[in-house]
Amino acid sequence: MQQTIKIGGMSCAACAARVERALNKLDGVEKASVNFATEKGSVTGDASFDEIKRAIEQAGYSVIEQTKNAVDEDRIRKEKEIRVLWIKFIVSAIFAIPLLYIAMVPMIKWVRLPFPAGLDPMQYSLIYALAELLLIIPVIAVGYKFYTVGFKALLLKSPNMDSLIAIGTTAAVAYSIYNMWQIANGAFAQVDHLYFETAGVIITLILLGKSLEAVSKGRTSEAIKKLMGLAPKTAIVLTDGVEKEIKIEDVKVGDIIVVKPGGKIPVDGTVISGKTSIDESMLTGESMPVGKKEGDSVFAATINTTGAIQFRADKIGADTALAQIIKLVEDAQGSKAPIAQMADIVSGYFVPIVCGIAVLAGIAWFIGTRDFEFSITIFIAVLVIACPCALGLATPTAIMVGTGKGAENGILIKGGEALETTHKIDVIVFDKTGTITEGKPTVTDIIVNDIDKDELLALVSSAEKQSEHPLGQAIVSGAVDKGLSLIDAENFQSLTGRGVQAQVDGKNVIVGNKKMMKEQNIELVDFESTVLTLAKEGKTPMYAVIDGTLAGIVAVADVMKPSSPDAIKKLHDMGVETAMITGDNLDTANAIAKQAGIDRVLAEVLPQDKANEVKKLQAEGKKVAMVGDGINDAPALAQADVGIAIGSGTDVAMESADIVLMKSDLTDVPTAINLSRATIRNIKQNLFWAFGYNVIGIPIAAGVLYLFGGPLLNPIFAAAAMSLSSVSVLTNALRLKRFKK
Amino acid sequence: MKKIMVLAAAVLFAFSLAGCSLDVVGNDALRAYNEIAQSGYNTDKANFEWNGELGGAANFTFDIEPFTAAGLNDVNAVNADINLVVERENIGYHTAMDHYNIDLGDGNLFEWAKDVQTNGTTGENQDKDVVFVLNPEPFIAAGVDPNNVDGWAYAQVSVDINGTPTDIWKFLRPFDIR
Repeated sequence: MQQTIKIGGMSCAACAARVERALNKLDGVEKASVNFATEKGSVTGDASFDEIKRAIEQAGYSVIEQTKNAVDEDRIRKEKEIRVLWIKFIVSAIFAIPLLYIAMVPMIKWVRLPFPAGLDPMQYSLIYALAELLLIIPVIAVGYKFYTVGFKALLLKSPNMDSLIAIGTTAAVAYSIYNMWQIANGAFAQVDHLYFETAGVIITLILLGKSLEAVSKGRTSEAIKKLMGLAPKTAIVLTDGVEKEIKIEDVKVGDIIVVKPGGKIPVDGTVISGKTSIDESMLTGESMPVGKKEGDSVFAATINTTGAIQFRADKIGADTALAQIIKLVEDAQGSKAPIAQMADIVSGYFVPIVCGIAVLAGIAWFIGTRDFEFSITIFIAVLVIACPCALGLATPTAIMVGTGKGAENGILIKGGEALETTHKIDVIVFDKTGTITEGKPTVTDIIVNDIDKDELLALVSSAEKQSEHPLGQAIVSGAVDKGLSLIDAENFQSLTGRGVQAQVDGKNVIVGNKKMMKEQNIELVDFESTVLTLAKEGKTPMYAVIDGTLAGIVAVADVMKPSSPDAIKKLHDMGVETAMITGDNLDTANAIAKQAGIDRVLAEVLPQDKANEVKKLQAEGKKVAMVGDGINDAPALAQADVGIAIGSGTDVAMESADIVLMKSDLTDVPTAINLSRATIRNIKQNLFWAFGYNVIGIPIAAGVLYLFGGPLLNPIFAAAAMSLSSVSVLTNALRLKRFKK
Repeated sequence: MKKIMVLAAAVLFAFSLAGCSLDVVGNDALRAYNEIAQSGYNTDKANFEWNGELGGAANFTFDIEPFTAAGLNDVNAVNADINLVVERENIGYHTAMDHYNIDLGDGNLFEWAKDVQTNGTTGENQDKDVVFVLNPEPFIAAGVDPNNVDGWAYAQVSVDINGTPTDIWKFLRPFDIR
């Protein structure tokens, strides 16, 4: 059982690591993963919600219970959080700016800024110090959470970013109060050693950083909010011939729903009357409206453009395609990519290590200089410049934006791992039917041997009537189109990867490929050259055997999707090898592959062997993606490093896949790879920046440059740098929103 | 939030309880001056008189003769008899010397040690109980050779100028009570 829990109170990646550890220790939990960016925990196992909640609370955090209106509540909560943070920042700035002013102006008198004579530090030292104290109090008051959360985490032996801020600013304030006491006792020179403004400006800058971070974090999940916002709130239901508008929650499966032109389809269903065109772009990314008539499926949140229709509700609530997509994208955004592992490990130990470095640096400088002021400045600067947030945000924010951007384009990426693996793909194996081709083959040639063509087609199509294979259905359609009447077949047998066998009108009819003929010991000599010609034209010839005699060939051709050659070319331009896998004979497969520009052909492959073919490619040391749509593609999709199911495919294929393309357009495959590459590049940039920032910033703050005659970092600049580091990582992640197909 | 407000109030209360008058510099400057005044600090070449109370008149005089001997060609170019009413804003604290001072105007000062009892124990800069400080510029402009003024040292003093400790030249006449 998997549970997704919304967690409150996490301020940095160290918090997420702590909650994750606490959950993983819980009895009955197989695996727990906590994502700082989405503020969600994913718990797999038998632990109850109450046990999970208790563990989270014991770790010092809270569980935000989700209700039916979770989307709205979450939005309201986020908006409130951002508003409160901005108010706190403004209040803090109102006091911190004058605090900084009175602290700095006496030091830069040459600028000749106005300054109250009654606060001259050399004349009124204690009043001056008291004024600074009074100004810092409101700043500390609005930043009280840094202290309550930070010190609590420290007591729980799991310090986080708030702990660093709390320790750093407390040291600054405590030392200043001590000096104030000294001033009160006549040591007026200590007026030069007040650090209230350092603490005040640090808190203000961190609050500014947190506000910007909250806004940016909100923007990373805009895609999912957009999806959630698509769902209509009401539906018009037809009851006893009367139309009645009801809440979407009250719609039941089987209800007849009326949708007028311009209206939104409220739930998934099947059209029972009327004809229209429906804009499905919000689900598939396809801009052209799709024609719908009786019997066609309609999906929640799509827009009815032209005619009025009535449809029967088939799927409601969490079962609709939209809800499934939202769930899939949400899960993906909450998932972790393997590339994040290093950052997660570092985040877990980061804060205690930084505390240690700060203490050691402070002690070392004190031993070296005997200057307590200097040592404490170093101590504060190291604590304040360290930024675990940037590390924690580097990967999940890019994944959120990347998967969100994919969803906007009809590319559903199921998780961080899939996203990461996709960028490494060397070979893409395409299923032929329904993937490279339209999957709607038509009868092109009927070649007979002592039998009427229509008679042969009638017998063959009657045998294929119960087949679900696209080729079989094409033959049936061909017969129906010709107006032939079909006979109910008996003893129908479908032989996977070979063909069908049935009794039709007392005759034993076998329809199948070369392999099946070989197994049935049917001599093919008379038709070999014809078959070869048909195959070279990309047609699929099927042998028809009536009562043990080869009666003819029915050739079926599947039209290639117009976008397939373009997609293959794009993949080649990206340096990706392409392969096509099919049960067709080699000649037919080669003909199709040549038209599409595919490099490698894997022909005459039985459905159950598709996964093996993928495995063989993997054995060559290649990262393999498989693109398919059918149930028989599911094992190969699962075997591939990345399984890509196309939207017109089956639920099983989509379930097995790592990426689902909502449209049946193969150009989305190179788009998915490009998106993956862009996201991974973005993650690497973020990680480089986050690691680089801390690796460079901490030694500078510790005074390494100063040791060699370089500059010393003021804690105020350290706080500014720390705030900017998180914001810069988020801003970089948001650049992915500009990704274009 | 409440805890922080309580803490803030407690800090303020603690300072109040300690009986601290907030103008610690002003109060202590008066105490130190009165202590020194009781000991007597006048020298025969310079004198500062003040009753040690804010609002009280003060008079600073010095003997012009050593300057004349050093080349002063116009006695009217300098003011050897300075009068002022001492207000709180005239009193300052000289960090580098650990002295209080009264600003006499035009760069002239009268300084006295913050603590006569400990003065001289914390470094050579503080090793004077009373220092008369004159701005040398008008003297030099009037022909004085600053290195030849009997009884007055021509020396650099660290003062705070626009927030930066700066060494500037002054005529100094220090005096130790002990």
